[in-house]
Amino acid sequence: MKKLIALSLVLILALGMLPALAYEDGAHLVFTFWGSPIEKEVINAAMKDFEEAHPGVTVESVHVPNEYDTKMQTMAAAGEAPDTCYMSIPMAFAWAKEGELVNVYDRLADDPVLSKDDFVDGTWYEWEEGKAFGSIPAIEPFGVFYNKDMFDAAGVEYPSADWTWDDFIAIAKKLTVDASGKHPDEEGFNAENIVQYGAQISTGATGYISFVWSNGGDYFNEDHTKFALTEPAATEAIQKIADAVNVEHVAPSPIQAKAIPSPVIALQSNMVAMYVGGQWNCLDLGDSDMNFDLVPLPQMGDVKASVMQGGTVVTNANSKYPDAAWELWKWMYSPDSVLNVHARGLWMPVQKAWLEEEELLDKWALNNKYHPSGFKATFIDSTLEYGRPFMNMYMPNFDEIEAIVAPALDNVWLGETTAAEALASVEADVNAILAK
Amino acid sequence: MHATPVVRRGRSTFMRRNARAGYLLAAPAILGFLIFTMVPMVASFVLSFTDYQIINTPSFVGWRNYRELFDGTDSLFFKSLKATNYFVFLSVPLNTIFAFMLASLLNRPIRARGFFRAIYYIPSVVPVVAVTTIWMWLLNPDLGLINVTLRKIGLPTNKWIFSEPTVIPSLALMDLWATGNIVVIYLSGLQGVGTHYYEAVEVDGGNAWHKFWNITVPMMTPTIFFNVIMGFINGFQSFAQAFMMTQGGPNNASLFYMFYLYREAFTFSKMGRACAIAWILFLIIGVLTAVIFRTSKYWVFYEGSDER
Amino acid sequence: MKRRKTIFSVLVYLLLSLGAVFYLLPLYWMVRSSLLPMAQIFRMPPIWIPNPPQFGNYSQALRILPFGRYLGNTLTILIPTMVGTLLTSSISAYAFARIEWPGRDIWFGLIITGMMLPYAVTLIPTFLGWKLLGAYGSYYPLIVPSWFGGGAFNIFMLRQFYMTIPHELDEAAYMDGAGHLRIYFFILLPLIKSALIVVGLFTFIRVWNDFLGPLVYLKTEKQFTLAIGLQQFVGQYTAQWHLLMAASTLVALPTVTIYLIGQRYFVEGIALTGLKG
Repeated sequence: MKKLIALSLVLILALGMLPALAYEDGAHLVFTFWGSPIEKEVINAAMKDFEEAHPGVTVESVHVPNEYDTKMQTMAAAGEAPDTCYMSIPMAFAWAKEGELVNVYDRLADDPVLSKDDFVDGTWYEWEEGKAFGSIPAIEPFGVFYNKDMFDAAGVEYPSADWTWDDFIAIAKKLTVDASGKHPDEEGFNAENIVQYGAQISTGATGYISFVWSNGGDYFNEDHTKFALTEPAATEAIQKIADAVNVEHVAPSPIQAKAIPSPVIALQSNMVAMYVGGQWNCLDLGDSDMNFDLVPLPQMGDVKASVMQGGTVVTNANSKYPDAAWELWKWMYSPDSVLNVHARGLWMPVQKAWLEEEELLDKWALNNKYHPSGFKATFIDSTLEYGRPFMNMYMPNFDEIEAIVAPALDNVWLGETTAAEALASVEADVNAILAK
Repeated sequence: MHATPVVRRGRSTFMRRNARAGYLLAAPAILGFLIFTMVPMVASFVLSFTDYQIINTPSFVGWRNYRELFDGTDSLFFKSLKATNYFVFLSVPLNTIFAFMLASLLNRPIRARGFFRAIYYIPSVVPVVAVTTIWMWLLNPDLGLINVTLRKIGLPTNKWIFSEPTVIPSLALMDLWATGNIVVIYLSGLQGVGTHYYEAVEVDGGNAWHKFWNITVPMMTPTIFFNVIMGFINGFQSFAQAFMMTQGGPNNASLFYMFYLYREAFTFSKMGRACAIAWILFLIIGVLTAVIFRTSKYWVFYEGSDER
Repeated sequence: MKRRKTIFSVLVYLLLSLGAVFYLLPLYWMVRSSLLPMAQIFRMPPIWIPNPPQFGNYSQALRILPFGRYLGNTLTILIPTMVGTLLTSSISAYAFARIEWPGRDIWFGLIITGMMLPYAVTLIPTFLGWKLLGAYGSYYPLIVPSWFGGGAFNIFMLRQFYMTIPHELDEAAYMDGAGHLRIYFFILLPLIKSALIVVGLFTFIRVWNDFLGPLVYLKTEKQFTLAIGLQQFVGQYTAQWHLLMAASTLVALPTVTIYLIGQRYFVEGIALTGLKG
């Protein structure tokens, strides 16, 4: 009941019917963000709406298309950091520790409309116990996108939500074809000349971690003091992904794929039948008007897990207009005010009500070309039921660790070394960072 | 050759006048250096001994930033040095020679000379974002036009920037494509080689090779010298290829020094440490250029030299 | 002798033409891709001639990129920078190459070392300096330095060119009572015209394509330049390759034109024939 009241309040506020809360009159806010032209368009529109809903406040919204960190660091050095902004995770942790970012828990505790419980559990970036600088306004879990027409043409049944990794490989084999029309298990199949891949797997840590978890492994040990990818369960999962490329020949090497076409092109031009990737791809796939659907990740082991990750929006603790800046923070986390990025498949909301309640779901996730029938099971249900925070949510220097681990894995994906060897070779370096 | 002595009339007045004129005319450059270059340089040098993270107030940590680079706790530092050295010592000589040859060809009285010059130069004006994107496509091992073509005509293909042993040579090759700037400098240098020298060789019965080797090359040494120095200075600071194409991979094989530095400075907010990394590079480039400058008197020929 | 010459020139043409293919291909690929629907860019076998060409990509790119405004902003930086660079770098280089004065080589060496420290660590101190002067958010930080020597690269390059010119010329003028400014302007500058054009060309291209400088020093999107606008198309999550290629072609076009105009002057060269070595 309390939730419902809170919810309706949010709605009323968003519609601008409630007299606005206390904020500084004449406040001038600076908001910086990154993103594609579409995101830019939607966010700029959302800023206009914000100004309208908050008379007396103006927002200078600056889209920074590249080298975002450089721009932020120079602004910060000059004491000109934006009031509210997108921020890369490592930078946000560094800033928060120096007291530069607002602890949103404090704000939420006093806020009349929004509370911490409105958000999906485990989506908070906490730099200390009880202190968080933000959540994930756009949760980006992973799932399997597939081109239905390619399945139909090959006479293969669509995958079902309860499939395993072995099912995934078997289906991928049926959909992998070389220049002479042969599949990987057939006599005379030429792995050097594949014209259609059954699958493509994004191999960043955000992509493979769900499989590692599913197989019973993890990136760090339980108290986050030791590197754990070297444990057999984790190593096996990573090896299996690499084997899909180099042994089973059902997927392009990710290092090669990096240069290729975006996933939508890969799927649309019949180069790849299934793409294991992030939620945000719904935008491009929806725009392409192709016949695609979604299915949850295949289970590699017995553990159910789905990654919760994404960028964050923070508020500057030194803002001249702290209340107005806080209003803008809330605005960015309220799906209604940035509805277009949600409805067009780029962002998934982080407010629980928007993932659970039919009438709100209807506003963005149901019955539109960006969100096919499998969307709810693939991204929403998995997040709510067994979503698990990505490592950068609790490990402030995770990106530094990734700068060591990711390059070592390059040769695993290329099939030039095994996962066990590659991971063992960086174990000492990673543990040294953890020990600091 | 330049024996004509300046008339000794009032040598010291002459010197004084020259000193005044020299400082006066060089003033913009000197002031510009002091204000816009030296101040930030000194600042970064001081910061290299601090724990500066941009948003904090820096405090002194002594030699820690330097020590941590060399004590083996950072495996990436040496990897980036290695990758960068490999690239620089491959690409600078290659570029210098290739661009010089190209410029010599483009300076010959050939038909459609303007057309050829334009073709070889235009790649250098295309924005880097477009250039890197296109090369990523062309060099793709499976679908890239280059491998597709090689396969069609039955030649062995290559993984180019996507494999450890070939990534640096591939990037060096790519650099040749954008060598137009150097070619243009050579070309404009070649305009200054007076035709009367060639006529003199002809009178002595010399052939094209004699002209090239005895006139063109020596007369061009100041330009060659310039391009070599700039090649090293810029080569060590190569960044875009790693930043936009390889992200330093695969397996750190193209972890350019600047990319490594940039990541420490702006992504990880370790500006103090980044300053230390930068000053080590400064030292490397400085020593190298100093050596080249020192040797220049043996091989660079200035017609307007005042060493007489 | 005649035959060898023919063989040689055939060889030259062959080499140049082969090289031209290698140089043109990526450019052709850019223009080709700018005229294709995105899905066709990667089609195998590759499409060489867009049919029909999608000129709509250009109008779409122009809807996202406010070309006129960003062009104006770019020129606001470009024009004063070009003037400042050409003027002050050629004067300073003259002083370093043609006049003997105490401390000259030390200053020259120092200026050269300015290029050896990566920008990444001088960016923030420099930025703080401009902020202190109240120039953050204006075009001044992008323009003013060019009026102070125009950069070590240009000074160094022009010095090299000045030094190839025989001394007899300016000494004769000096004897006739000409001052340094006169010698610089009337005697030496015309002789290094081709190098000056190179400086102008490089400055144009550098400013035109500079992304980081304007991004860091400008405060609002209204002030942004073409190079920043172009970066929008390189999305991390959503790539619009066809639009990127269309926008890149548009942005490259003026530079190509400038080059084609400037290139006439390399061909002319300098009539040094009248001088004696």
